[in-house]
Amino acid sequence: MPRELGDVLHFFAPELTGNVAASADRRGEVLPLIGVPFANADPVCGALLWNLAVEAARQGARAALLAPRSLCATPAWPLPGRGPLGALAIRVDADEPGELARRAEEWVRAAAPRDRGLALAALPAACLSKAADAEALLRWTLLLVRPHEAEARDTWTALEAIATHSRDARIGVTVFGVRSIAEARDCFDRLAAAAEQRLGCTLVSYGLLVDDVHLSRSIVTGRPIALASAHATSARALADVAAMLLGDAHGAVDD
Amino acid sequence: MTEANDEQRALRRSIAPRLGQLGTPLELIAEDVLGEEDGVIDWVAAAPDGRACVVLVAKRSGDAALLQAGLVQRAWVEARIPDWRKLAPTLAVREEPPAQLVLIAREFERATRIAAREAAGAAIVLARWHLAGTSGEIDLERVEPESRVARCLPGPAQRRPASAFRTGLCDADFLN
Repeated sequence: MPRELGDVLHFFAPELTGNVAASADRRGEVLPLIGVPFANADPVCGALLWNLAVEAARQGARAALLAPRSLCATPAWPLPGRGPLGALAIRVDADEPGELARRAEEWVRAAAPRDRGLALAALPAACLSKAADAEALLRWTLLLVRPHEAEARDTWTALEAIATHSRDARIGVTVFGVRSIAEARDCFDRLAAAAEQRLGCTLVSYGLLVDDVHLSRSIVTGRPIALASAHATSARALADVAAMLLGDAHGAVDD
Repeated sequence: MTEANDEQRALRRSIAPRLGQLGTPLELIAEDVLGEEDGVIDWVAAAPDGRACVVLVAKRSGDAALLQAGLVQRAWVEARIPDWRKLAPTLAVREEPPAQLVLIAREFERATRIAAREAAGAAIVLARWHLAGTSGEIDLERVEPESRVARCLPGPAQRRPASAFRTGLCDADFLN
């Protein structure tokens, strides 16, 4: 039966009045585990990621690069097992994002308390539509972005998927394929402004990477840049990005 | 019917202490109010800034009918706030800012999330309830509206973003 205002006035009584305390029940534990969306099996991105893992190991971290079976098929991808400086390449024999997330989280949590760990998990872009299965990989993501248009479109698709599924995610961006700092800064600024405006999310800059002749050599020879060409610009860029990631993961930056 | 009402009351009892998890402390003003078209409003509440909040709880999935009911009941409540203020001047609820609609359900269909976004932007809050552990306690989790799909690439920056580009390199690194 409908009630008039008088019928509900008793609800204004003090016994129903009370502040409900806000509690921030965040499940947002940020592990040193970074999901890296891949639009396709890009050999340059693969090589940059592996070099980044090796560089993190060079800086004293327990580092691993994980990838599902489908991405490991490219020649630039390292063979599974322990590589230079102890960096670990892990092939996950499944293409389900949930399994990749499970293996990555398991590896991160197996670390000793004093370990400075860093796990990079290559996440096929197709998996972003099933992102609910891979929540652990979306809490902290790193997008590798080329400034030209086609890549920006792929990046934008990934950004939308991450922002939709994981509202409090830390979304990092590393620009690569540039010939100057100004070019990288311009690319990041445009993407960050658009992300704020359209998705309401703030991007975190993780510098730039250089894909030069040393990276090509690294792909061909399988020798990481940090060891083969330690003074090259690409090596310095890798060191810079790895230091930022480790700093954000563990609160300190080691050189 | 009575059984359904009992279930709804039990759900309300479980959810009420968790409403603060949605981010804003709410002062509950009225419960189980019959609003427009005999529809039940689970709570009328007030936010700290005086904004009225109309809260509807669904036992199952939140669909278009729930969103429709919410919009209708919010309009019903907004129209009555001036009268309530006259009758109870100390009431925490104000006519401005416009009332917020809070919909709580077990899950929300994608179409409902899109419709919520299109209907009123920030003035509609969607939240999902779920059982926490085996104790039978209920937790609430805010559901973000479906984001709008961009139809074009980002254009030139109109304003500086809050985040800043970082690098430890300098221009000299690119000279060779």
